[in-house]
Amino acid sequence: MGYGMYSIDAHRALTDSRAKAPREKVFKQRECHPLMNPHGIRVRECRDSDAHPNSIGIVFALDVTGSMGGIPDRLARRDLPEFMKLLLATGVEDPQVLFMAVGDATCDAAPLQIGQFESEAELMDQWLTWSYLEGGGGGGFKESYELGMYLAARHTVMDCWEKRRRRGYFFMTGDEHPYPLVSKSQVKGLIDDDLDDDLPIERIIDELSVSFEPFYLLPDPRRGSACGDRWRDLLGDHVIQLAAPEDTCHVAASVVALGEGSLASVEEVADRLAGDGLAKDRVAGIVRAITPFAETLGGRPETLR
Amino acid sequence: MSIKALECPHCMAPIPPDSGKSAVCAFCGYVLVGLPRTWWARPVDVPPWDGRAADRGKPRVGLGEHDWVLGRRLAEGAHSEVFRAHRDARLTQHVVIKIAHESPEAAAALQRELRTLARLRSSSAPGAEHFAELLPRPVARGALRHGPRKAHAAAYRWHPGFVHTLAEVRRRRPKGVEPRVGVWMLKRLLEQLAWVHGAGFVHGAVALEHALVHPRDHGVVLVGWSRARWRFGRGADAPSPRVDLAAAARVAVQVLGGDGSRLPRAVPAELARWLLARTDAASIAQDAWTLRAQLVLLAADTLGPPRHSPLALDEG
Repeated sequence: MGYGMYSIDAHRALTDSRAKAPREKVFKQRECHPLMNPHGIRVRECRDSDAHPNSIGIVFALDVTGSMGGIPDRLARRDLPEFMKLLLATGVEDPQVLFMAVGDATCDAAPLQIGQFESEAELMDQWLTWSYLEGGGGGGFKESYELGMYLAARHTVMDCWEKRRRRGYFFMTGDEHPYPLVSKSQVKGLIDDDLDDDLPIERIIDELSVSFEPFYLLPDPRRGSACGDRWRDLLGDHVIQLAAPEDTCHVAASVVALGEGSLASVEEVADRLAGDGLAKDRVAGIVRAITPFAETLGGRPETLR
Repeated sequence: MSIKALECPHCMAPIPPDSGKSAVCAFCGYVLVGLPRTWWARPVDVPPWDGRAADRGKPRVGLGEHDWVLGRRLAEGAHSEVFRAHRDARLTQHVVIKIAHESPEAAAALQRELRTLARLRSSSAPGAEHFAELLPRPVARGALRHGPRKAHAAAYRWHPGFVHTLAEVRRRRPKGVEPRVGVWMLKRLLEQLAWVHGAGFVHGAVALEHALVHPRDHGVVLVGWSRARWRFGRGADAPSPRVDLAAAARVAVQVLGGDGSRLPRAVPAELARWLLARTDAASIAQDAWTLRAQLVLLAADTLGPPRHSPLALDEG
């Protein structure tokens, strides 16, 4: 997958056409789309091609439970073209985006869904809008984020890693804790993999971070303070506290641009976002969100000016 | 164990073992469906963590569930030393580690600080959603497992940008910061103190060394909470919030380049008189919010409307 060409105009036309449509008209699935069902999956491939010789895999694992459904909705209506535009403008040339949807495997009908890595606007949009926004989730303040991590760790292959030893980017959105173990019975039922035993989430994060830079995006400070400590214990400064959910795409694109070195500092990110016409307070919020991660990249800490 | 090779039923050509549930025979073009499963997900080999090259030779301590690489020493107080540090792992986390001196008093002071922070964090006083986030947030605590010495310690989340104490600002700008900068610093201190007092505590140690500044974002946060006390305690020694307010005024006087009795000429006389009059706790009759409101009006009268005034230290 990932052989098409990206056109920002085509993508904008697609999203603009549905800007005011009700969510049910944009996300029409009422059950897991057969092509997004991970049962029996082998691998999702992010491969180089003549058109995209330096592919870089980017996974959005979106929480589609009731409290988090707004993010995929906003992506489909407005933000995904902005994400691609920012990436391409900063020199990240060949991004390939894969969408996953994550819910709660203890109670949801479709707690795990996965598309394909795509470079083309229509196909990215297709997988995103084929996601079934079930709006479920249980009452135990946990969702099955660890299953999404398992799927990405063991069922993706990327040329950026295999050929160039450059990690892809894994962005997970959410506002609750993960389950502490990857359940072998859930893995068998949902993916049809045979595990000898349950796996601690720490183990699967170790596996995931071999070929990905994993990030967990907290949608706003209120929800961040409720579950951020657990996630920071697992992912450290790869946990990113957003000022508001609408910053998801700009933050993700900024993180990729910093990670790839196409923007050298948070100051350059701020200049780029301001140059794109983003409001001052939103730029400030995005800069605050990405600064802890930016400081792990080895640059000097923010110094006195 | 027997090994079964897959072959095309039409031309007997071998089928690659990594084919999925369906494939097209590369030799005869036959479409094959319902192939048996020949591919299994395998655990990913995780290479052992060898540490960052830049961290070689740096001291490490074990605290909580992680090991931490100690960076530069940020401060030393009566009871503890404070270091920058980061988690010794690929997914790292930057923190500030406070290591108590080896004495029962120092360990007790650290415990007091942690208890106070926990109580403040659980406060529902108005503004808690914002101000609780400005408090040092513990990520690990307990006895150091290994390291330079056996001691009690706490690791707090690093607040990016809050790099320097006001003591360092005073050292680097002995003639004082611009009046506008001094005003926003005092406003931030008064806002945080207003919330702390509303939550029932008195900081008790407001000083240059206990205030971290964010030069660009007009931010000041208080640290050093080991002497904080519940303000509604019984008896005559219940702490008064006025002690904090007077200390905050003294901090402002010091960063503006003044001493106990006067301020540099750059500070408008009316503002200077107001500040100096509030360095004595006994002369303060207002709460923190009222003082802040007075300061805002006075600053507007003497300095003009507020505007973004980042702290500039390099030329100082």
